[in-house]
Amino acid sequence: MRSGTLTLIGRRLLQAAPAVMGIIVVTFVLTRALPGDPAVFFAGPTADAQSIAQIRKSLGLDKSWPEQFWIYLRDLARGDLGKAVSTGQPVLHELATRLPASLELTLLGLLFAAAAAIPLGVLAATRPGSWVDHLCRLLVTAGVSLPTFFTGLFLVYIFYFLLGAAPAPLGRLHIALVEPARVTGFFLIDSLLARDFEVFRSALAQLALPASTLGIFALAPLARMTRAAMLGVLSSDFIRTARAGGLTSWTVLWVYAFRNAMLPVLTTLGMVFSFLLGANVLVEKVFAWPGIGSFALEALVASDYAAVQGFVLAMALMYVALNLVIDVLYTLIDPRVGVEG
Amino acid sequence: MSGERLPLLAVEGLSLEFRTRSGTVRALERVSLDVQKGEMLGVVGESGSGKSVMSYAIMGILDPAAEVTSGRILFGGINLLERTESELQEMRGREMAMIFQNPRSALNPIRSVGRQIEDVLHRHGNVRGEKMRERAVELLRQVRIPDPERRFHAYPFELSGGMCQRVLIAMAVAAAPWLLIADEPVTGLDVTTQAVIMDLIQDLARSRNMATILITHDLGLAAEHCDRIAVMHAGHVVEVAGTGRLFRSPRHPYTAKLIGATPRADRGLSGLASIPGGLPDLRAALPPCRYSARCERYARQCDLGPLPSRELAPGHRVGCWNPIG
Repeated sequence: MRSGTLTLIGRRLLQAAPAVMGIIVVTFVLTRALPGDPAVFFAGPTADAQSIAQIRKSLGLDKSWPEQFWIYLRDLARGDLGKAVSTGQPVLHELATRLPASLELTLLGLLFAAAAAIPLGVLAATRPGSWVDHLCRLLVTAGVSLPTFFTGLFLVYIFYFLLGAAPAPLGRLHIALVEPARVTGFFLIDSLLARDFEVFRSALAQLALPASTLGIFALAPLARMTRAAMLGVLSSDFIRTARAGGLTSWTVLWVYAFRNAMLPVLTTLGMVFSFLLGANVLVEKVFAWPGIGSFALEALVASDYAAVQGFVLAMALMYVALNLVIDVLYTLIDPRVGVEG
Repeated sequence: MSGERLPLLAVEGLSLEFRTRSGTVRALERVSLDVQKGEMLGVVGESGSGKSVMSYAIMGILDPAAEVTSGRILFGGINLLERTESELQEMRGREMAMIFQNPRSALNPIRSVGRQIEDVLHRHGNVRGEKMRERAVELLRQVRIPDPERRFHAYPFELSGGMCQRVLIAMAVAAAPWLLIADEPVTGLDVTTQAVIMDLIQDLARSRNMATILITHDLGLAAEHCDRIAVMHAGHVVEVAGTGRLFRSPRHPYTAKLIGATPRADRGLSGLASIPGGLPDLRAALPPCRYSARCERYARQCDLGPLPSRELAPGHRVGCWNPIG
């Protein structure tokens, strides 16, 4: 079982390698195929042809595509993602500082969504047609039909502007506070490690609204899938056996039904996570969040090749890692996985 | 079997309906049956005749859409229909247990079979930890599973259908119930396995003095193993008698047809007769006798009053106005 899991991890990583290679090629081509010339952009509106050519040369953009690609690959192999022209910082450094901000936000949003959606879906499935079921349906519809930037602005309007309960939507910490010593890059964890509870409180307060925004978005597919999976499992033969054996309702529901229903829910969780990574871009804009999404958006507008390529690559790697985690969790829950595959 | 002793289980005038979108299905109508301690009763009928629904009613695991409209289910003199869900939960598995068709899907696919037996032991037996484990392995040995220590850790998908049915039997008898309901326990298994599983059920029932209700569509199987047989048709019990008596002198036309439709070694296949017609739609308005539309002995009196339950001989009851003989 354990060695089976390790084999599975190794196999999945090997399977991911061609996909990652493909992504490297496609992003390289796509960034260059997009309209817009970075040299013109960075030279500014008053630049003459000579200075533009100079900038183009300094960026290495005067070389042919295969040559540029070769240089890109060579740098990549050394772990050098190039320099983001818009900020002047190495792309790797930008990603390393911004990725934790995005991840902290996304994970908290996902946690919030799962904590609300899974019990809701289970309750709705055990009492079909009851008020919980109707509430579930209402939330699912609302969550699907509200775009995240709207939910975000709406929450800011209510909780910051009208009620004053939330802090200003301006980044990860109150302006007067200093970032905690960096260990994980997650402010919630780092502040606790530093025993700085004021920073922890502030970070949590700043996170509350954007994480809720993402959470409301992620709630719908999760609640829907949990409900459907639970309904399916609860009507299966082995649940009848468990009931005929006199097992308590609690055991039947959580040990027998829920663990089986978790399998499709887990798959949905992985999908929702990747959706959230995309939805992040708008939410980060609304809340002035110094995350990877807003960075990528600016880089794209500026045709900042290295930054865009770095962003897409980081996303692809994260997606591979995420799917790996889901696969491993699957084998831990379901003994049949890994035998068939 | 004499009816003098207090029966272990007595179903009295049980009527049951399903509320569905396409109408009310009258699945059972005034069904009466009893089971003595230690005996094996066969309940035989076509699919849709209400055999399984009746057993779910006895176990108290009916679908929420089902509603009992009249009758009593007495188990050891207690009316199960008046018990609360938590009281029934205590009784299920410990007083009465059930095994099912399709044994592989009747087991939790992601829990080892040993754990599933332990779940029942944990619920009903006062054993824990290492003792519980030993007890579960012992049960696997009792249902003649080879190498039970190793099989304890197996998952249902790693076992054959016959092995899974043995595991279900082990779970069912784990808390030493008085009554075992076996709902088509060998349907879908190959013939050799069928015989082995039926022998296992019979041996366990004898050695534990456990009453058994064998629910099957196969009259031959019931004849081989049961002391008495109840024949069901479209939600009615049409005839109950001792096995020998039922085969020698069936009184209900449906029973006679059913016997004629059962292959036997001493008769060629050419002698097999099929029963004309099918089960009536239980959502529609029904005549008092639900077999009348298929019946050769149908007479005007059949439509006059409610279906009778006539005791033509001690222990031989027939629901028919115009019985054979």
